[in-house]
Amino acid sequence: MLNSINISHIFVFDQQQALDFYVGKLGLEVSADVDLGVMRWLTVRVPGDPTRDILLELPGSPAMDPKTAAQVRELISKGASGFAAGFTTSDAKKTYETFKAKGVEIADDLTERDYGTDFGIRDPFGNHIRIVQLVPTSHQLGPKVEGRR
Amino acid sequence: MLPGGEIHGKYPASGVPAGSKTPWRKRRRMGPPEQLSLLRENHVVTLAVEQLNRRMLRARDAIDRAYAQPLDISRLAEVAHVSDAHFIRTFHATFGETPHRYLQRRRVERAMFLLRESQRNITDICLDVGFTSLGTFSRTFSDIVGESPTDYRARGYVMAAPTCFTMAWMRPSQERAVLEKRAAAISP
Repeated sequence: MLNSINISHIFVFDQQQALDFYVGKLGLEVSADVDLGVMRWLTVRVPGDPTRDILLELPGSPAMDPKTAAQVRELISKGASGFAAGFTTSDAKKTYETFKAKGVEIADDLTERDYGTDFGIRDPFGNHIRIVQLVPTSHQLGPKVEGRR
Repeated sequence: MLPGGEIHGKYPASGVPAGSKTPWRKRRRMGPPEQLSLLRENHVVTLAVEQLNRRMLRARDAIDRAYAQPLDISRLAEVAHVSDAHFIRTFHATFGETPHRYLQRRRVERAMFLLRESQRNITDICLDVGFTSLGTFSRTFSDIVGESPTDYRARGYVMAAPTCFTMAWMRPSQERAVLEKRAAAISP
């Protein structure tokens, strides 16, 4: 059986630009930056959460021929990568204001929903990322006590 | 630890990982010179397409975000930093429908959402999602969905997906609308 999500990836077109965005603006930290010879293995994570990494992956050779890589970039730049990643925050409004002040492209304004308050952003390449302040679940509220359902 | 190098826990401000002397861009493997010039030409074309796509996406995000406001082509073309005529043409080439039709489908999708999830009356919903006339709303809704807002509500749909996802997935597609209209024509 599987235990947890260890790593997932987001296609980026320029790893330095990706660092400026994911680390410089969103506040993630670099967890690995390794020269594998054929590629730069570059992962980021949320500070304080060492269990999940995101690989900032370049679409290109040797894994992809130039034509395929160009197609991938074209699709991502028109938003066709779908929902790339979701992050939680304990203060959606504050995070929204901070990101906006840093010039992060807001795709979708703060919205109250039944599962919490969330908003959407785009990374420089067109990937859609959502940030949510979840309403506490019964699990997070702690064990059931007498009188509370 | 991964093979082939060491882990640098710090954000390299210069873009060059600690320990390396040449920037990554220069160290990327390149083919023979004739392939290289072809690659460069293709790369320029691709960059232009990507940048135009990104602008169109910015305008499409604006539609998804501000559908309730009186959006016109000039305002959206401004978001995309292109001329009005160029905007309509390029948007259609990028997303397969005109910006006006995309906006209509977004408004109809939001109306479907409110018909399902709220008790608001149809006139209020029509204004909520950005239509200014009930006649246009009903006609556009019926045209896209294949049934009137009243009939749609009466069928009592239930959605289980998170609302940000229903927004992305429930905007009625051209294909579905046609199919539903055909179905409605066969079984009145």
